[in-house]
Amino acid sequence: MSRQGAMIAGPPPGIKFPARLAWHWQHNRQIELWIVWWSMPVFYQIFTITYFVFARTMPPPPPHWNVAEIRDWVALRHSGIDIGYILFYLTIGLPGWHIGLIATLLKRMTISPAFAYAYLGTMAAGTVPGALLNGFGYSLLALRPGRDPAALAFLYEFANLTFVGTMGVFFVASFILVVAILLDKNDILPKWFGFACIWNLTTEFTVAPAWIFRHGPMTWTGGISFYWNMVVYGTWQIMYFVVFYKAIKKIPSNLSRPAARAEPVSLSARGSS
Amino acid sequence: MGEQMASTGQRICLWTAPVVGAIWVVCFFLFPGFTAPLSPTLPAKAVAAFYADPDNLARARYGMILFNWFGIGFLPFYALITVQMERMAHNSEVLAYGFLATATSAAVLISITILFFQIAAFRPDRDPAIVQLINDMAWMTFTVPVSFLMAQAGILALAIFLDRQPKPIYPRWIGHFNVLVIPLLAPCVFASIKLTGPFAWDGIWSYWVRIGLYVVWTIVMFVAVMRAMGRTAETPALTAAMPALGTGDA
Amino acid sequence: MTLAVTTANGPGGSGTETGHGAGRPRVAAADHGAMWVYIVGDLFIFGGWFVFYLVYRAGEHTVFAESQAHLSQTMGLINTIILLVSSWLVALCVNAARARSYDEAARYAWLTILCGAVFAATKLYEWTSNIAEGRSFTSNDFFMFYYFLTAIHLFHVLCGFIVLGVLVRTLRTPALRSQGVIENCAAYWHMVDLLWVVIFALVYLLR
Repeated sequence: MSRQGAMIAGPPPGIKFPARLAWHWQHNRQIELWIVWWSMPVFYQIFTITYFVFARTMPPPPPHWNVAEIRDWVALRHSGIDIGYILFYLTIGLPGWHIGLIATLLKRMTISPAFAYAYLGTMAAGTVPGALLNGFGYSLLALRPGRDPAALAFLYEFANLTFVGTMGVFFVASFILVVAILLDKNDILPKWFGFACIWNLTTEFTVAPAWIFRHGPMTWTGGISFYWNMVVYGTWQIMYFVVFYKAIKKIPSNLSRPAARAEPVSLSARGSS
Repeated sequence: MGEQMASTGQRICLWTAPVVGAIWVVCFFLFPGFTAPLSPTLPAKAVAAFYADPDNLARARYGMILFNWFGIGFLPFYALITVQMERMAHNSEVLAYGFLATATSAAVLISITILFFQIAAFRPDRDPAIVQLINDMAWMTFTVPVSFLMAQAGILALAIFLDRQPKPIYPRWIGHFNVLVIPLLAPCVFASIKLTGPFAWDGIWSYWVRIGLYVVWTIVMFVAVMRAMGRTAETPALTAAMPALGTGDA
Repeated sequence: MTLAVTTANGPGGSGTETGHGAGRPRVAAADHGAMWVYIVGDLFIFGGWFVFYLVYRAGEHTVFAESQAHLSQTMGLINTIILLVSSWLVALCVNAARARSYDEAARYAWLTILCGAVFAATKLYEWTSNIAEGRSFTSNDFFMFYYFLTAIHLFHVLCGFIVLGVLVRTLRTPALRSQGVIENCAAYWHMVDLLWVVIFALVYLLR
């Protein structure tokens, strides 16, 4: 198959940076895929800065704190939480773009398109509790510092548990990826990555005890359920970026749609819905 | 006229939009907290009193039940937009799918919002601090997640600008309109930190402008989709429609 | 559409068997490299958990020693023997497949599955009897690790059933036969066995 590729010949030599982008916008047939791909590292950068630098709500504080400790800790981070989460709230919509990218790649595999739709549905519905609720929990803690202690403790646990403990979505989504990649005969994504997604699946198991323990290595901030999990997840996430980058580069640019969709769907009034 | 050329399913999806829209308008006027948005500065007792007030309680409950039924009611309409986006002269379906994903996420948030309002109205004699907490969560989830709408508009705009064919599915100005929506919605995130002012969740911007924008966007897209339905019926397969880009590629 | 047709020539692999009937191109799922990436990664992840176990054990030696005494070393040993036997069986299976006696290989594969099932059953029995005597996941740190490690291992065994199922199907369907796939499946099962041996040594035996 001709790989004459994403760009006809690449931008003319000597073009400097801003003009180069304009050239890609005009001529790169895969520009939509690349824009969407780039939205992910951008989002994750902002996400990381929000949680680890501004708000410093990651790594999470321990579950066994009492109300006074929580209040003090939130007070210290008040402005950081405000700024950090504003950035986060502005960009949390971006992962939806990337979900579309993965669904597109899944669609190009030899397995049923149901996998693509299942993935899209699962992740689109599920990424919401995974991160946004954490933000709301902390924002509400910061918004009303004088809140009733029971409500305060609730919000603290709500914020941390929803973030670390949202398991089913990513479990199912990873499972879909594993099966799809391993069964795919088109090698859209490499087989080793299919296996690597199993690790991501495993992290959803190791995080489950965070819903039970308030002390020890298996709490929402524990050595096993949080830190080691983050090592596994972080490694997987890096592999993920690399793998998708390469997958897009492999897509022939002049005919990206699978052959089955080449015929237009009959849209005449007599046609079926 | 173009509309008659489209399939029955597409026409149904199209007309769900005004129906759902009308129901949402009814919900808006039913829930007393919408017509006069609750101030974030209300103390817990006042919030509890609001829900406990017999005039408010019935309207809140029934209004929210109705809203719950139709909270994600626009999804068939968004799915129709997705189908139309697939007819654009793109290289892949990524923009269409991205649109669907962001639209789904946005719809989920609305569902969660409604749940919180309903929980607040369920047990009016709850501890006021808890009622205030639930009310806070409802308003946060209602106001702050504009990012999904922004991302939705953004990817739709991208799709429109990249729809390079002799007769694009949507006119370009719709793309510009969607781009405009993004910075207009963005300030609503300040509702997460402000208790007063135009950006608080009862403020001019975060409430009235946001809702107004949503209404305008829905109406504009409805007309655009309707006009495009005949258009998409004429559009041949993606690859055939794709114009030569750059210098004569094979 | 890009169709990747790669032959599976991993380390020590004897190359891909082409289907004589259907003549379908062999799929890259038989790539040994992919399975080894997975196995090494999985061992690494487990390794981290083992380190945590040892660290906590060092900090709470008495609790760990006392709790460990409640575990049946006999059960642990039986489990270990079952899995070692199953590993041996799957190795026999691979050899038989190499010699092209696929029916014999399939029989060995089924026996491996049987061993896996017995292992799973004994594990469940062990858990329920421990729980019945009041030793649950939240009893103390030792039992937290015990249930966690054995449960994650059991999850791998359950996935192993899927893998062995793929093995059986590969052996019995001439069009699908691929020595690479067969060896990958066997390698996975060996990993499951290896992990159990380490868990047995650390959790049951190490005083």
